[in-house]
Amino acid sequence: MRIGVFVCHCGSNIAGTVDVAEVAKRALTLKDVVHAENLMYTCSEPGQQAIQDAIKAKKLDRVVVAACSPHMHEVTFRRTVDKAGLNPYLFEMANIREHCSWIHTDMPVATEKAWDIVRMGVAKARRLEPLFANEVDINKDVLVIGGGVAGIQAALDLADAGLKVTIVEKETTIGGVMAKLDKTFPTIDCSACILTPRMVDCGQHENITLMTYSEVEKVSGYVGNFTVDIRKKAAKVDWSKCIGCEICVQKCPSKAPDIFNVGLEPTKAIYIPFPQAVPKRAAIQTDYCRYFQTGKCKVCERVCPADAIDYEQEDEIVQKQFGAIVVATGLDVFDWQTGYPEYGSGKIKDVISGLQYERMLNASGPYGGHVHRLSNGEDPKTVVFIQCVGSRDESVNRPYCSGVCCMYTAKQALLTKDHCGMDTEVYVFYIDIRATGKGYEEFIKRVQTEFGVKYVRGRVSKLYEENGKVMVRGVDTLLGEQVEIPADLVVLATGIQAAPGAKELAQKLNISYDEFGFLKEGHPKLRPVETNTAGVFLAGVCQGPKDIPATVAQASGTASKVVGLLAKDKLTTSPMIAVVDQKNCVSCFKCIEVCPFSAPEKQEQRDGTFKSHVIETVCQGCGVCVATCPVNCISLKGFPTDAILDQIQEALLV
Amino acid sequence: MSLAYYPGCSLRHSSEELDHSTRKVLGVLGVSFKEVPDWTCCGSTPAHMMDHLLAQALAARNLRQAAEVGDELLAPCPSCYQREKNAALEIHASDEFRAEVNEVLDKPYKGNVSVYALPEFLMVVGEEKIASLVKQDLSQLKVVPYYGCLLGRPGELTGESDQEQPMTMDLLLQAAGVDVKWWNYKTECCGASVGLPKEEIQRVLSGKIIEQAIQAGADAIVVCCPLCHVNLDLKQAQINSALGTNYSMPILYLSQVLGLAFGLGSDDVMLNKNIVNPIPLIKKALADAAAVRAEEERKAAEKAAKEAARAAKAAEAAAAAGGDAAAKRERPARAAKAAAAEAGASAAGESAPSDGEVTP
Repeated sequence: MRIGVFVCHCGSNIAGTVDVAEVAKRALTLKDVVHAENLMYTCSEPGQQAIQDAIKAKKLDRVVVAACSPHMHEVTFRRTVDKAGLNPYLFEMANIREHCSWIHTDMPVATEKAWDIVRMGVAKARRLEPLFANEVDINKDVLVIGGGVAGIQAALDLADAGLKVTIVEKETTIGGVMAKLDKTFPTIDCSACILTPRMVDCGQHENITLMTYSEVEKVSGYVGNFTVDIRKKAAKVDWSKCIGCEICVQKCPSKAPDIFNVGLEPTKAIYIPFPQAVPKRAAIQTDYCRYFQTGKCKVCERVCPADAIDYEQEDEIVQKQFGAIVVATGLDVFDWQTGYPEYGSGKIKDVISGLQYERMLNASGPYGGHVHRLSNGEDPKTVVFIQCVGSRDESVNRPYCSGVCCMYTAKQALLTKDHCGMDTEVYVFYIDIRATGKGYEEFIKRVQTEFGVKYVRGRVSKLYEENGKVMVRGVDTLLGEQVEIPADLVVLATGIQAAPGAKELAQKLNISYDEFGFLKEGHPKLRPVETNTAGVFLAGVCQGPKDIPATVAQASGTASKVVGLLAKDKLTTSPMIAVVDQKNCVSCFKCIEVCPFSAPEKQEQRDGTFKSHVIETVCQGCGVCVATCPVNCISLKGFPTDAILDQIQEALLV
Repeated sequence: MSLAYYPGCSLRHSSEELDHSTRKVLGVLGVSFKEVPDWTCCGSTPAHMMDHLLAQALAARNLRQAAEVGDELLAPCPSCYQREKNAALEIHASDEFRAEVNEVLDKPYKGNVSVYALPEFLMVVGEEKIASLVKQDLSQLKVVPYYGCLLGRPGELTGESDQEQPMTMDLLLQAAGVDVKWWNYKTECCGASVGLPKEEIQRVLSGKIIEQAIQAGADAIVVCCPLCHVNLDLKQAQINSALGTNYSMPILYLSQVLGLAFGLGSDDVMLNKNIVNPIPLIKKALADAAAVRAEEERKAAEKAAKEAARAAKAAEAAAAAGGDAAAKRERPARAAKAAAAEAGASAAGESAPSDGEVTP
């Protein structure tokens, strides 16, 4: 065996605290080490050249680089040795920067520790075996979960790139939250006007299949080869016949809560969320339907000109294959009624959420855009906005900033002046104003100066009714005084939270989420749209609060990543995965229980018994099963147990 | 389970009516209890501001005395409740602290007494039980429950899950058939803490509570706390003179209202002790309730008569129409049948459905 050791200075990063020349000199004394040198920047071109030269000159069959974390440059050096004709998995990295030089100040001590780490690296290198990557076929269809603006954008980009896309959306129409908004900041352009053309494009694109009123039931498989069960919920209406004429909605005698209009006014038990719905199809909310509750009615069936009503319709499970999955499940609005009982728990009629106010402002909303008091229908003379309701508040477990409320509040304040007249008094209670996007700060300034909206810095502690007004009691922290404003209408800038069911979906997809249910990206800076599960990508607010421009940008970024993945015909998989020695397997299948990726499976043997088998393409090489196996019959390629034991011995015994 | 009853100083003197009515109500509910023998100050004095050990020991002495007659302690005064529960929680959680307290006490406290506030205890007794014992119709008595600070806060101590919108008094009063109005002022400060040094602040804060009760459509405020009661009832005249208002809002204890619902007389619940006289209001509420009942009965009888007449007419028409009844006709016939059945039921003395107006 002929091992080469290269000790990196990393400028002064390592050499400042570690005597690299001394470490290299000592390395030469180790068994099997035939070459050792110290290099200024090993990752630089000359550094890599030195490694390749040494491999050729000294006929090295193992290489150890003592430098930074493998997260930084392992891939770089594997490529380096590969180019010199050495199997890339015969390379080992000894981390003497993050694990040594950066955290010590005393040179002799740090040098000794670096020497320990290098010896451990060499010990492991002796046990390394050549490994070879596998290739698998790729299915080029893409599943987009969620039909909001993120899902729509990603789907259109992917479809335009020639990929077949299926959008699964839990509501009956795509459009998401953006379809509910009135205007968008800072340009005050109509939200529906810019979104609905995209929705129509989605509905008509030859490469896009819409599966609305559907949810992902089960996901199995791996990157390039996912199998997904999709539940098509029973709309009790045959959508192949429904023409979206809305006659059934007009004639239906039963009222039901209107999710699209955020509960402002009831809709009918059979409903179409809004006129521009895509697809424009009716569905029955059976909990509120007179026929389903009492067995009598069937008015919709009688009036339907297309004979589309089907009371017997049941949920249906459709199984489809995909190569990649884009998660774009969007957001939910913070439930202020339980979170902020001091604001009246929903009992005060003239206190509404920001999203409800959007529907009130909207010309196609339940009030035709007439801003009024829900208590008596009068036009409001004083409107108070309260920011950070469910944002930046640890007492309701929402310590994060929702990022959009400062801007949408400013927009709504402006629109209030527009709808109700410039003489309307408009107040905004805020903690800080966060207006960091393009043109945002200018917009806030315009709202304050041009439109005369009064900004009060402070929180509101109580809302109560008095003489027909909603009394807003808060503090003005700039004046250091309590303030009380008698308001006609109070709008709460309710914050963003993760969509309901996001965690459950994440578990089905084997991707991680944070304590608030937002899905985790692969790296906060460098892998912002990937997840830690290969082939699963994120777009939009499911990953964290963001506004429409950021959502659309991210969705396009996601689409380009998916295109990049699916541009290849075959997929190379990492060879550093777990393998089961089936001779010794006792079929306890603990590995199946612990694997976060569902990689091990029960494989039938010739004698009819079952042994564990790890699906190569699914395994991510985390090693949990290796540690769990009670008979040590699973090993992780690239991390042989013997190598790790040798490393430990090297660390402890010398 | 046996219950020890701790009156405390307020109930002995300024809030005698709370003590008296609570004992009566417990009697009606069939809850047997014994007064804590030789009880002393709960520690809700400057003690708990000055010396933690002294304050806990004062409370612990009562817990020890309570343990002699029961394993549960009811303290109707929220101040006493806070002190006793605070001490009980700390002592029961730490043997070390119990030893420290026992060092101070003449005789050690070895028990494990659970401490209850009045609404909390009554919720354990149960709304059904309370509802089953109601004898007086208080449906026309419009009240708001005022919880103040000590019943709910802090949640870790009281176990109150919603400190902004507590519901226990609401539920108990509803069970007793009282018309409970919703308001968002259940837990606002009455000003008790500044009542002596800054009385002008107390006037404003308590005045606001009375104003809010009026706004909510209430004719009386129901409280549990003697301190709230003093601020709202005893000082109502001072509030009026300070604010230039003319409030005359009776302030009732929860136990007084429950007692009245159970059919106890105004002497039994000591209505004469309240400063703003509640007796006219109670009388009016009872009279109103009787009038409403009479009106309902009259309407029900009228409705039953009309429906019976209509049913008879419909049945006649159906008979005349003959056998090949079209689908359209089936419905009125059935409705007539149902109406006839209903009319029969209400005629038999059962409560008539009050929804929907009778169309001539």
